Amino acid sequence: MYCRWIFFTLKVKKFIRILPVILLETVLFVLILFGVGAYATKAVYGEKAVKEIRVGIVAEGEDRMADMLIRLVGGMDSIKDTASLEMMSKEEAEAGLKEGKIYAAVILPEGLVDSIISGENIPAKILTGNAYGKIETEVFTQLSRAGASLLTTAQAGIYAADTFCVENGRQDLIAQTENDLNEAYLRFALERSALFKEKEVKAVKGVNLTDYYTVSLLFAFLSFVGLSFGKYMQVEMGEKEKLLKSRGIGNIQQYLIETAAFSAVFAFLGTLFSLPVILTIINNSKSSFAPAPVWIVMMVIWFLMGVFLRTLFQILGNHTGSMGVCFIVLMVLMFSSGIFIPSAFLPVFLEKVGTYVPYKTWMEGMVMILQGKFAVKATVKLVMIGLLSAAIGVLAAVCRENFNPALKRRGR
Amino acid sequence: MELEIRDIKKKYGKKMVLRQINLTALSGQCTGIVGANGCGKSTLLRILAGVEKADAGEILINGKEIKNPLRQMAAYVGYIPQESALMPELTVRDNLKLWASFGDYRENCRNLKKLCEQFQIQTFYKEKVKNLSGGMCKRVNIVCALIHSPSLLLMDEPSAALDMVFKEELKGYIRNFVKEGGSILLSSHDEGEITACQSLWAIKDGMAVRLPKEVPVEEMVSKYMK
Repeated sequence: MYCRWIFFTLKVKKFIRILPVILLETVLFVLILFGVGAYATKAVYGEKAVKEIRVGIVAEGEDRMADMLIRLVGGMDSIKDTASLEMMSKEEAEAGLKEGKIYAAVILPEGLVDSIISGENIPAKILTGNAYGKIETEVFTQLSRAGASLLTTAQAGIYAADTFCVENGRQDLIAQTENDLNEAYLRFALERSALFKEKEVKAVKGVNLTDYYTVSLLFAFLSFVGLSFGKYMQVEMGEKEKLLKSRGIGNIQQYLIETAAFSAVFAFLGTLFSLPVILTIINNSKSSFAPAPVWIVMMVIWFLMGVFLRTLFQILGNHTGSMGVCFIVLMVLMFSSGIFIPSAFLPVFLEKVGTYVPYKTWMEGMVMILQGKFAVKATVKLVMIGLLSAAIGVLAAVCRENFNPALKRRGR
Repeated sequence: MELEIRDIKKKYGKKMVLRQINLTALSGQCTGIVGANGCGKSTLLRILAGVEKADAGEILINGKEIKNPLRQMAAYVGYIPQESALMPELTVRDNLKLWASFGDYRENCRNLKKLCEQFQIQTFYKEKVKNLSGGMCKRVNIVCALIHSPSLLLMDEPSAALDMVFKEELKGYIRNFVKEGGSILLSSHDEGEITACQSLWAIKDGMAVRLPKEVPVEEMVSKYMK
């Protein structure tokens, strides 16, 4: 038993010794990744995309209602942050498009608002210039279509009310109902924009978007740190490992000891990095955070993430090519579990897949910490995923030892 | 300690490396194994060290069959492999500590002290293994194999990478070890080491052949190493 303990402590020592190199490697890797990402974004979208999108609005005829509608829409947060709407004449819009001063021009036909209210829905004409990229044009067109369908949906409610009146023999109420519904629609649209101003949008229950992304960033960064450890793992059974086996520390024991050692170091590292971040979030949110078990959960999360990463290396290997595959697998897992984009914004099938991805469970664990409430269900799920990872790792270790044709050929 | 090997067979994939090995290493003797590269010398030593499993055959120590060589051989043998068995990121001290932890730790630590003096390891005791030269690594590997005072030493080209001074030092150690009743089985291409062996075996076509004592080196090379 003593030799196993010594083996464990030496493995811990080994991982701690390589820690500075690992951190340096990860920081460089993240910088390169972000650098390439930023450069690619700039190359694809150009300088213009970074700036605010200017859209010219041309109202055909003197339409006071259209002017009001534009001011209302232009003032909404979701529009205000991405585009600025400017009223202009048709000539100014055409010149602006030619010179690239405006991104697009929306030509509102005469009697636009009346046509919405009456259900006639005269379509607005959208002109796009050639000064911007194809992607941006496509995005804008899609957004415009989405906006139009939103208006149509609103009108559908009014038509439904009309039908209801007809079916109940109260045609006399149609005009009044339409007026009331239109008024109500505009009033609620205004109130809705005010609602978004006052209330925070939550990415997941109990965590706001900023905190969510902060924790996500932690997970992504520590995943890359874990990835850098890969090449220092003993995945294959070499001469030393076979000798150790002959002395009583078998293949499975070696795997479990190394996993425990790596996960312990990873848990320490994870806690070290997340401690100031989580404390800041908790302080800012004035959470009722206190109980000590939650801190233990935090260490458990990082420990189990370590177990998972070690299992990944055991399955995929730790040669240069395998590390590339590990990176892709981690990116896919992170994406599907809502690390980069909250699950609520992902396609339904990805959202469903994400619930089975370990990152989701670790994230739930973090949410538990941020809320300051110990949740037994989430903790059990965490531990179960950890045990499952370890079991799969053991299976992979056995397979690697017994069914590796390359090793059999070499006789190693 | 007397070692006897009967009908050991081993194949990797379709290639039969050891067809039928019968060999004896007597107590108080240094037994040498020679043969061309890839003839199976290292494989045989690995089987005897309990690192590799033979497909068939028996291993007997002092006339008693070892039922599970993979588990039992390590208690009898000290194995010096060709490749390093050390963790490169750790110091020499850490590595030696690991190998001393197998068996009686206190007794092994006492042995370790003597061995470190003998192989002059103290000078780089706190160095990381990855910073050591090939010869230094070899010396540490030798100490690792001897730490638990085995009565049979299996040496796979032990003097490779050693300088002249330590080659002589190793020869001296081999002489003393044998004098004290230990057995040594070594594979080598070094003429000095081969001539120091009391009995010599050659492996050719997966079979072990005992060589007469005074066989000239030229004959050995032409017959068994080509």
